[in-house]
Amino acid sequence: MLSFIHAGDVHLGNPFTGLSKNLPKSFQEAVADAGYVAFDRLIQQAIQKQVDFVLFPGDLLHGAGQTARLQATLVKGFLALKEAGIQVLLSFGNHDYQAYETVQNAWPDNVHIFSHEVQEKVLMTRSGERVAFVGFSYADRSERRDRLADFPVRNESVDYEVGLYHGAVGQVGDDYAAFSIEGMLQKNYDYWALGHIHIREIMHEQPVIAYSGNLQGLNRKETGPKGALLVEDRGQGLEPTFLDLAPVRFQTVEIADCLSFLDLMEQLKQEKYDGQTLLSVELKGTIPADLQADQASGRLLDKIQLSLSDSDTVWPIYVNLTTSQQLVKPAFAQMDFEQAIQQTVAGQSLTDSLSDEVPLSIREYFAREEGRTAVQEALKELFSEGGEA
Amino acid sequence: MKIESIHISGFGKWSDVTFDLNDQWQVVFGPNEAGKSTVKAFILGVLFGFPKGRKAGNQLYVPRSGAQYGGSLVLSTKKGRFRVERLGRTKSSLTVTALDSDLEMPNPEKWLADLIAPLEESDFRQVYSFDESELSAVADLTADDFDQVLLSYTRPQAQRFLKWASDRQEEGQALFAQGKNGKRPLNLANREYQELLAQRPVEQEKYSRYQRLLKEQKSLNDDLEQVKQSEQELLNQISEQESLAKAWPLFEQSLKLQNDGGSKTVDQEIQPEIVQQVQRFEQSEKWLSEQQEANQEKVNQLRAVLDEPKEKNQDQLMIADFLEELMAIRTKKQEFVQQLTNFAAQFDHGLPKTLSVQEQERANKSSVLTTSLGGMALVLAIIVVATFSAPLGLGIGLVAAVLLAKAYRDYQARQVIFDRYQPFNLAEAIEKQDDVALAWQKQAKIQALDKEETLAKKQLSDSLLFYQIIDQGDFTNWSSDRLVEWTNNWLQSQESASADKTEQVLNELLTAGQTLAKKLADQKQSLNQVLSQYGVSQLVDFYQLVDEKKADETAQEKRQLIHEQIGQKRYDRLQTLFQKYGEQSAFQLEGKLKNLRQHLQAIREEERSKQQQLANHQSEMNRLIADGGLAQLEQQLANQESDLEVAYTRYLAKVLAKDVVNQAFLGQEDSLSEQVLEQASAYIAQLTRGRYQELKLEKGHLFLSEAADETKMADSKQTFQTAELSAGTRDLLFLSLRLALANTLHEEEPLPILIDDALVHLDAERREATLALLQEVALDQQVLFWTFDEKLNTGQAINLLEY
Repeated sequence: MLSFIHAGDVHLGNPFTGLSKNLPKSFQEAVADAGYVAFDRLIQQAIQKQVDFVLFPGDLLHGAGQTARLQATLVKGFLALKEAGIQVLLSFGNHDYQAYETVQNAWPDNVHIFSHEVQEKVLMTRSGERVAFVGFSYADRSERRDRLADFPVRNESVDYEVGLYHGAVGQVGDDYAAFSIEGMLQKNYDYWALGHIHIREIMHEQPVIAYSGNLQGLNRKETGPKGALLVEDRGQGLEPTFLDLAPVRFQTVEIADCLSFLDLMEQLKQEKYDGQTLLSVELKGTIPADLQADQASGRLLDKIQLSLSDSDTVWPIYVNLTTSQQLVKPAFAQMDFEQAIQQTVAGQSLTDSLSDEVPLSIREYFAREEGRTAVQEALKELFSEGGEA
Repeated sequence: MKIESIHISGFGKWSDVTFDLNDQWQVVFGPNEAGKSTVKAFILGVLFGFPKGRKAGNQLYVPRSGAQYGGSLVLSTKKGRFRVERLGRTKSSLTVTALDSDLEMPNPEKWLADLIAPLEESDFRQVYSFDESELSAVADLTADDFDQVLLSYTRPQAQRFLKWASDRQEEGQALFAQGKNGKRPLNLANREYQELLAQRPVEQEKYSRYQRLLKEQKSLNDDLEQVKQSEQELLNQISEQESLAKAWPLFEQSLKLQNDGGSKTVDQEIQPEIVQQVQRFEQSEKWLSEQQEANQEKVNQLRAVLDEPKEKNQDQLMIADFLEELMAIRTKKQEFVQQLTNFAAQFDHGLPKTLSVQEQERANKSSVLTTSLGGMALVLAIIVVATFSAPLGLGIGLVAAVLLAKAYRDYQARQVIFDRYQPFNLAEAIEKQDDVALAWQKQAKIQALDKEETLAKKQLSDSLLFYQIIDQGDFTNWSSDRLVEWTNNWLQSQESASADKTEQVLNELLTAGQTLAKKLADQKQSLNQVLSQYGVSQLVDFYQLVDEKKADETAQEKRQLIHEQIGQKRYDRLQTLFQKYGEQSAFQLEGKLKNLRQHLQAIREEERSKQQQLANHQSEMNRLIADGGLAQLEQQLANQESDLEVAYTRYLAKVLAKDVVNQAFLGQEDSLSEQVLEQASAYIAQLTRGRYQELKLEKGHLFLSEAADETKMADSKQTFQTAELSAGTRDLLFLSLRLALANTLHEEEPLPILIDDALVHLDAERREATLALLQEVALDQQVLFWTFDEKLNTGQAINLLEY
């Protein structure tokens, strides 16, 4: 019976964001290797489970994938699949569309690449079943055309029809090949392998329309186990099971009402960490003043890292304090500081304070909402700790 | 909030004294050193805490009387009347008692703080407590500072925050300099980042290099394939050539065989059966000839026998001789036997033995002597025994015995002799001794003749056996007589038979001879027939032919073998080669082989070099793969970006703190400030008797405008910056603002204003105006006015000298 692996958003070569350059050595290596290790594990699982196909519905690479190690890893993996009789179906998404031109000749012939136009490819499984795969590759970053309309209706001459689609739910004309679930259901396929959203989610059952999530988490918002989906037909249609493949995991831990720094560290050390974990700590409820002071001066994360420096499995990368205290409105003040902060940050261009020497990406960061919010938060912390002193 | 009464337990010069205060305008009169400031300090101390004495030179107001430090105030607030008691300086205890219910407040400090909130001590002091020194200080301010100071009074807390924000800004600037080539931490971080960024093209170049290497590797592999193929072909060629060279000697051999054989070509095959036949003919001819010869010989022999006189056969002769011998012996023997028998017959007991000399003597001898001697001895013995002695007697007896024995023996011997020679007597016996001896000699001879007879018998029988006249078993038991008889018979018969037999045999032989001759002739004819088939007449030639044929065949077989060993293809090629080169063929083969081998060497060199190139490529590619490449660089960049984002966020927060403070306090529309300015305008108008009407705040500077002058044009209002004002006016402005602040702040619970000798350096007119204003203000808010002006020591004024 048909079985295949659905691995969207592998993002090989994509760096992890939100890490400091003083990451300890073991983690630096783990981070550098993480994508490759996850990919190798994917290949191993495919061979072990003797699937018929491996599907990559977009964003296999980061950018044009111009790293020797990356290309060598891919070629090696594809050749291993070829030897095991497994074929690869691949389309390019919004992050790796640039690679479309360059890789055509470099990969072995068991790799089938979808062109910029929607294509249907019919292939055979080991046991002789005929499977049709339909998909397309991005031509540019945004892909605003209505791609779903070009997908043909279920081909009756094949045993299974599977759609590969890299995009997001939305209105026609939106970015990222916007589609609707109903539109997909109308095509009457047996399975839709989606890519683009990094969170694993089954959008619809019977037939299954699912995002596999990315193969390896890349920042502190992509927490929990990451990997790919093993899709098998066990008699009731194509059903996915999750394969946990990522060697490095992001995890967020909430500590409420901790009593002191020591208490905080106790609790953190007692947590169970699967493999190598990059940890985000959220402090809630009542927070001791010394911790707040450390956070305002930027020392809290350093202290937590120092305390956990002998651990090989966990490294803290982020600390956030959610206090219930409001910023006081000082006497004679027109407004409380919170409002003042908002208005100050909204009212001016932060980049005015940054000279040209500051790297462009940093300046862009502060021109974006993300940067402004960060500055607002920092000001809040600053004013909650200071001022009264 | 108003202060109803003050009770001092011990403070400065005061001890155990109570002042009841007016709830509106209260003058406290007292000259210098009367303790005015002490009272004010006391009020502030109870409300906010007594001086700790940390700074050197601070007035501590330790009561001279030694009474308990401190005291209490009775306050009336919107929430009721309370007594606030603070006792002790270093370890002060604070009690706040609600006078209506007589309940102590559980948290007096908090209650006090809440009362004054959101103001703090410093705010209260700044706003509600005026004194002379401040006013005079105001006069010394420069124009810009004046504005700032004035403005800062409008937002006392802002000042604190602003200071704090300035500190943050400084911190921020320590992190990052806006100008180029800054050396501050963030500047350095920026540069690090840029350096990393600059590595990007290096990594990209590495990647391009990798791509190129991949391509080259592919083409190298293709080349290598081709080279390998060529090598393989060459190897095939070489092996073929080698096999040709190896086969060459065999081929040469084959050629030789071809050349040598075929000197006599025979058309026909000579079948092996024919050869066998010929051989048989030869053999039987031989045999027949031999037979013929033997036959002829026998014939000749017999003819000779017939022609010559008969002679006895040798065997017959021999047998006759032996027979004669035997018969002679027998005759002789018989003679002796007869003689002996005759002689022996004389004796009774047969022929006796001859007497020996001893015996003869003995016969003659008589033993009478001995006997008599013996008898005598015996008698003697008996006598002796009986008479003399036994032993002697015995001895003699013994001698006697011996003598008697001997005599007896002799007698016996003689008897024997007698027996032997019976019937003759002794003397006759002795006479006949010679004859007896002779007889015995004849006996011996007979025995010898017996022996001879036996020998002769044997001789005869042996020869009979030898000539196969008798079989062995027949006559071994025959006696000599019988043997003799038979032999005689046989001899006689032989003589007669032999002559006839010979004639018969001869005839037979002749017949046989003729048959043989015929057979021989037939044989010879058949043989010649066969031989002529093959063109030869002689047997010898025939065999030669056979040999030659055989040699040819062998040669042919060998050539066939060689042909098979070499193989048809190679054979053909060698053939072609030989046709072309003849004798030089071997040389040619060697030459070509050498060429091919050299070629192979060259190809192998090329292969090696290509493989080396491939290995080099691979190792470089491996290095590039092991290297993190662009992806690693991007990770490093991402890490640094993250760090920079965090650092710059903190930086921006620091440098923006001031703006936030300003925003919070200033804003575009600061209604509190407006309120204050409005009130201040009213006050300044009053104080300047309407000369200055309006106080405005624009862009951080204060502007005072004159009243419109009816005499001048309608819109010719003059506006002055504070710097442009006279000192006196500035004082009034200061006062107005302060009062306006005190008035507008804390509206829910108006706090008392404490003015301590603040009007000293105003001129009389201004002082009058100010006092009037103050009293007006006092209608809404308690004003405590410390003065040493006698004029004010009226009515409800508290005269400190009286206490």
